[in-house]
Amino acid sequence: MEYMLSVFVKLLPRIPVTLMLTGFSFALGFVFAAGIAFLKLRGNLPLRILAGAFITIIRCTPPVILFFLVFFGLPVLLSVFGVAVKSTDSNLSAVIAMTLMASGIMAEMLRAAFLSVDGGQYEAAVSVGLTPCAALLSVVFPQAFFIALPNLGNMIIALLHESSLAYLIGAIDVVGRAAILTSNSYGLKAASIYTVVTLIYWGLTVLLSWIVDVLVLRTGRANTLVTAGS
Amino acid sequence: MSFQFDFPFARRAFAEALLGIPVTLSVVLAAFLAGFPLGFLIARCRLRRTPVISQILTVYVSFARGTPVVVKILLFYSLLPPALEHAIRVLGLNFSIYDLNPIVYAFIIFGITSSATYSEIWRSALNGVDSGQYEAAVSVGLTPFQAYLEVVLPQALAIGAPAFCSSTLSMLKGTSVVFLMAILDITGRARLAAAMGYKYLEAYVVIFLVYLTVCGILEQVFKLLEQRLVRFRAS
Repeated sequence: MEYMLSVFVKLLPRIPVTLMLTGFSFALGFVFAAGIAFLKLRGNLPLRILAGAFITIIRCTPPVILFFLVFFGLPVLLSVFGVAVKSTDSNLSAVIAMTLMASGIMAEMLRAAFLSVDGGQYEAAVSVGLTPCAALLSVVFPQAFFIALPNLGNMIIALLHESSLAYLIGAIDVVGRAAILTSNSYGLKAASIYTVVTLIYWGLTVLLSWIVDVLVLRTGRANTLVTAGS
Repeated sequence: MSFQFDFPFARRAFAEALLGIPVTLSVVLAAFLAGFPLGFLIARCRLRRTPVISQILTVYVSFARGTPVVVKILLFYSLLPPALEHAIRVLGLNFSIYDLNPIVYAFIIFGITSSATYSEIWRSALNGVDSGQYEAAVSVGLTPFQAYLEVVLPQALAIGAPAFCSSTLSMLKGTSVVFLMAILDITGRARLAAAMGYKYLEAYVVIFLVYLTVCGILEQVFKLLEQRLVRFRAS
């Protein structure tokens, strides 16, 4: 028990790494997802096909494989463009891989949310004098965002879990540090070390899903007010 | 840096990876066979709020869904063998834990994960069936069991079908980490082939293509299945 506490203290400074991997890829993924969703909704045919193909491919690729493909493939891809890199940064590769994954999955969430906003909302906004752009930005997007919020919350938790794969390409997040501790103990302490890791991830997940629930409840109320008022 | 994609190697790795497909599918199938009925039972207990059991199950589901699969693999792979060895010694069985195929651990880990995931789907699906359906079925003379089996369940299945399919597909992708337990699934086999010539990029491209194919085929199968189930949906 005392040993597990000491392991916890050693792993604690690595939690920010895990959270950063999760947060960055979620934020970047959201931006790309919005772009991809837009292409799929409003792009011309080739762009629509491209966006659809990207989503399908990402949905069919195991996260681990995406991590390894980015890690080993990025230097090669860069060398094609004349950029010579000796090695890939683990954290950067992890964020890129997770961003790819997040953008593919979130694009579908955002698209569905956008489509579920009643078309009358946009028409009403335009008819009272808003420009089409303003109507989208201040009427349709906020509603779509609230609709997508529960799914986006699940996404960030999924990303938190996928980030645990980053240690396979050398990132020293919580699992990465735990793996080092385990090999330092010649594997003898593996069970206690990984119990601590499990508890950390469980705790983080419970905390995150609680935050998401609170957000959904609060915005859900605001959202019903918007809908009821309209 | 000049990189040459080694096509002959990729072809060999592809053949190697194809041999891993049955292993990958067997993990998915085992997890489905264990998790689907277990998930149903968990959902029933939680919906009925059976005292004590329901609370324990809530913690179980929270644990199974709250921890990444890799972490579960690392935990159980370091926790289970000594525990099993101890159990074998206590029971006096003539069996070495080292003869046990590590795929058994994969079955256990993915069985736990899938039972929790499926239970959440079952829960919302069973909740989605109007309680009047059951009452009506009983009132026209069906036994409660019959009413449940023939009226409530098909409708719940129809509601849950898309979620069941997509979570099974993501489980298929999730099983690609079992190579950590030295299991020779799609990823494990291709990685093994790659390790000899340090041709990892080729191997991962090959694995990527194999998963794309398997996943694509399964997705189509599920789509057909969904269409069959949808006819039970109350309109």
